Amino acid sequence: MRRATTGVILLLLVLAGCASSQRPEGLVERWLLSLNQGAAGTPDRYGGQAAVDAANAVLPDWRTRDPGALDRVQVGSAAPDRGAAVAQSVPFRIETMDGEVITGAAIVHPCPSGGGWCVEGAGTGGVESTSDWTWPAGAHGWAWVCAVLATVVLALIAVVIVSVVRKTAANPGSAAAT
Amino acid sequence: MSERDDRYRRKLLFLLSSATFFEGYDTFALPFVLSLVLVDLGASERAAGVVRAVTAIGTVVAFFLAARADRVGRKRLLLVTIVGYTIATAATAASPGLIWLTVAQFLAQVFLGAEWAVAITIVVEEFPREHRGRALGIVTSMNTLGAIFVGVLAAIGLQDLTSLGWRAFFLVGLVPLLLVARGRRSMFETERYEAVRGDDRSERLDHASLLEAWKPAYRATVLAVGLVTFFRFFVVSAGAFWWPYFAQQEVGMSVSLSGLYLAAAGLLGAAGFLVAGRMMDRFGRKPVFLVYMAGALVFGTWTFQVHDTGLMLPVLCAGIFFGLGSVAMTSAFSTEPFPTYVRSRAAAWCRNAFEVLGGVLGALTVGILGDHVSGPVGSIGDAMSLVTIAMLPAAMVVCWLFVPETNAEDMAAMDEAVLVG
Repeated sequence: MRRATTGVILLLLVLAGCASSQRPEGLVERWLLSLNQGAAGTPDRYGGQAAVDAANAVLPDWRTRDPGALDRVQVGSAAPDRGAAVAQSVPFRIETMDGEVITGAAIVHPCPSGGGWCVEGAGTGGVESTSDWTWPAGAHGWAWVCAVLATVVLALIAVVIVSVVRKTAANPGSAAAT
Repeated sequence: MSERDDRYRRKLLFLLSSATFFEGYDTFALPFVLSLVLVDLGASERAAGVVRAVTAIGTVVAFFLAARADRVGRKRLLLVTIVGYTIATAATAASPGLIWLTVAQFLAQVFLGAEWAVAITIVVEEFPREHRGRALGIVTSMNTLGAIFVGVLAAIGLQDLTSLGWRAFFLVGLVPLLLVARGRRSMFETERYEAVRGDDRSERLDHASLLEAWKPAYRATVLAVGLVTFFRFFVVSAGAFWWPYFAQQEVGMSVSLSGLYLAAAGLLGAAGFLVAGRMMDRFGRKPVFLVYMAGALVFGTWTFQVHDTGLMLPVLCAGIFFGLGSVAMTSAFSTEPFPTYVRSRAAAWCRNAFEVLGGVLGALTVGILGDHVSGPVGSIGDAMSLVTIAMLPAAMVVCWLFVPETNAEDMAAMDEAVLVG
């Protein structure tokens, strides 16, 4: 049992280590969700003062809104920002509990400190998403093959373990000998 | 007329259903009022995460309490857990600060976890074999209805009806104490437990060791059932935890609509327990479990691939029907194959060790895989579908090959064999 738990934890750590580079869409989504915490929101975590300024441009009263005042926060696929070499533009759509809809785009660029994206600016109005506002990232084809292989491996491991335990339980002497 | 006639069993079913109802109720009460609690007690989201982690550990600790039912008796432990839970929930309502609330909710989870295990054991021991499945279906379905009841109370604005605010939700948890006051006198110790403990030959059996369920005669069955419950709950727990996030962030449903869908699907899905209970009495535990797992595989995978809000509701209902409904069979698997003197400890291993571990790792795995910023998959929906495909067939294979069919199991004959042997 302890070995199995250790194995699963190791597998999770390997998976975490295999994590792809950061997605700009995910960062913008978290930045927008932080505006849904009211005064407790921390948009500065996503790009310092520039991210706070961008938040003020999108929702000037985000600090005084009640937590949960934003009913929907959606982002579309990132695309290279016009005229910029590395910056990405991420479209977003916000719907408040009052029914107000705000669309816009956030500009993100690689953080100066390295390791991911930072929100550099944002503007509102007239933006449409090519993904129709459903989440744009997802599993590659190989991931589905891996899932099928994983079930075969898991079933085999489980069958072998239970078979061995059943055999040793039926012949306690052989278990003691081994 | 026998003391344990149909009327007594109906009363017993009501008492046990109340216990599992409040297990579901309490599990969802804190998440529902969390934002109010944080404001009232002046705590942060990070502190809320700690509260969640500590209370989850209570379900694991419940293992030690649940296992005591083989030593102190089912009736006594059930009453102790109900009283313990009501004291803990009253303490929660009276919380002056977050540490008090965390300790009270931890204790509530310890008592609730043990209460569930002993309730299932009582059903298996007190109902005739032709009605055991149906009774298990009813008792386990109450867990889901308890969870829905929290949503109903929130929808009618319980938090605003009195000056108590969020604390009113925990005062509702005092209701079981009234049931104990009634049940204490009219409830008997289970017939099987009394018969075994009253037999002189049971003196040589070990009624206390937690490892008794791992002795050679039961080891393979505990492991097989444990793995089945692990694989199943890995998926079911992750699905229940991540569906609201998936619906809101990846499908684009509003918070209110996703809440409405979850309540409606939960209500319809609760029928899955009742249908499972009737079917398992008629066709056996294993065939029905395999059908339910196949349904959960198809509709569970599909649920997390749907991006159309109109299609979501029927697919979600089917997913909940098969996914949650299958607990009626796993409850039978974890109790019926074992003789009375060790049954509660075997059930505690299967549920509080394997199942809880699967629940924790399932939600964690999907979160790591589907993290929107850095996850290898990058989508909670796809991560959830991948995990469903990876886990549920493994549960089906282990069940098919190693879990014994107990539909026609004669508990008295099984106990006699142990006492003689």
